[in-house]
Amino acid sequence: MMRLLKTGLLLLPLFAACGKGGGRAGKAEAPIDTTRHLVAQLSRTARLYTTEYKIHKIVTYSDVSRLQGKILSIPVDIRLTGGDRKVAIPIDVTVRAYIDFGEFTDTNVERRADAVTVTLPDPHIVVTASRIDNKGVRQYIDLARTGFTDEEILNYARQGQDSIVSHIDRTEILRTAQRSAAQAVLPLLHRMGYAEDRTTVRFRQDLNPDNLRFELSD
Amino acid sequence: MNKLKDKLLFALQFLLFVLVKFWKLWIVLALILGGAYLLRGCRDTKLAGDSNTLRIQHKKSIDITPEEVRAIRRLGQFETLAVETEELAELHRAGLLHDQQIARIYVGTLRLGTDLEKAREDWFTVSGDTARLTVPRIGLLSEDFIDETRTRPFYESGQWTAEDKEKLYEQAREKMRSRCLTPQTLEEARRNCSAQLSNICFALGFRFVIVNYE
Repeated sequence: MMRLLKTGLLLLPLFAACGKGGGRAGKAEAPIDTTRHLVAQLSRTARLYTTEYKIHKIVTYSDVSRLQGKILSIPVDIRLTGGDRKVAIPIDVTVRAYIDFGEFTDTNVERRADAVTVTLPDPHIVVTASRIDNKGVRQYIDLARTGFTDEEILNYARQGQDSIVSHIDRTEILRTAQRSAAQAVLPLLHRMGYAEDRTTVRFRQDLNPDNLRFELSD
Repeated sequence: MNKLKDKLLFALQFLLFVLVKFWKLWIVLALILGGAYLLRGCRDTKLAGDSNTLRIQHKKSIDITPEEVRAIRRLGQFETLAVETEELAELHRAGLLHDQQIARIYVGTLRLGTDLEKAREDWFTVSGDTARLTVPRIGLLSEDFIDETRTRPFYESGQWTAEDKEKLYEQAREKMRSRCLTPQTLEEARRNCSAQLSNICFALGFRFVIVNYE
């Protein structure tokens, strides 16, 4: 009985190793081709992208452990030593401004003799892409703590993008978008035979950053 | 009287003996009583509706850091079809005792259209009430179409490096690209491009519009 037990114990690691593909176990790495289509939505658009901003931000998060609360109605706030962790996540966000020509009709064009005035639709701003610099991510972890999970890092990166969106100087991007749109439309009007001093491209007068639509892919 | 005094003295001596002899027991009892008193105090604070009981607190939001505009670029891209899509990408690593896996769901929008910045100098010509447009062929307007910060983590076990996460990103990008950039979507984008450019020209007063692709 003892001999059988000893033999079994000796053979157990061998079986375990065979089951995982021999000596290369733990090193072999291959992506499983289970990538699959989840959602695809097509939408017809008529957007003229006129300006692109590339914004960089190093998102930082400091996780400092504090013992807070009350004992016998006495407020307690103690910083726990050896329980801190920090992460820095560099991100790049691409923001674009566009004019939606789906809203453009003949009511936007006003002709008088040999002069023409075109009122372009309002510019809109959209986040078209974002990238996390995974190689640039740095973590500083105290002994008593575990590292940041993938979920936590993505959550902070998302907060970083939201912060960019909320802080972006909309007035500046608005002006740049309008200027670029006018520069795109004016040559067309000149080729239509309108003299340079008889063509006007304008935007809605009451347009300001507050009523500017900002889109986020969510 | 003396008898009573002796008895009291004896009782006092006995009490002192018990106190000194079993001093560890008294300390344990004192600690138990003290702990119970503290717990009762904490319970009373909680029952009183004060949620700020003793607990370890962690900050939820990120720190305030500056943002830097790295580049401003003027564009002339006319988007005619947007394909919003999601992709599940995963990596698997076989281990001796247990396998490791990571799975993420990436979100992206592929924007199809024509880049008017690359059009010829004479791409827009006019003859009478006819506009003739020759625009660059329809394609993907930008290779950066994944919104990585909107990625949803789906599963993670084991340790994964930055290189692994780059592999996941590339895997999702290639899959999205090959699935969404099909002859059908390009044809749809081309058809819509012709329609939209014609609408703009009609609004400008042209009666006939001819759209050609390079």
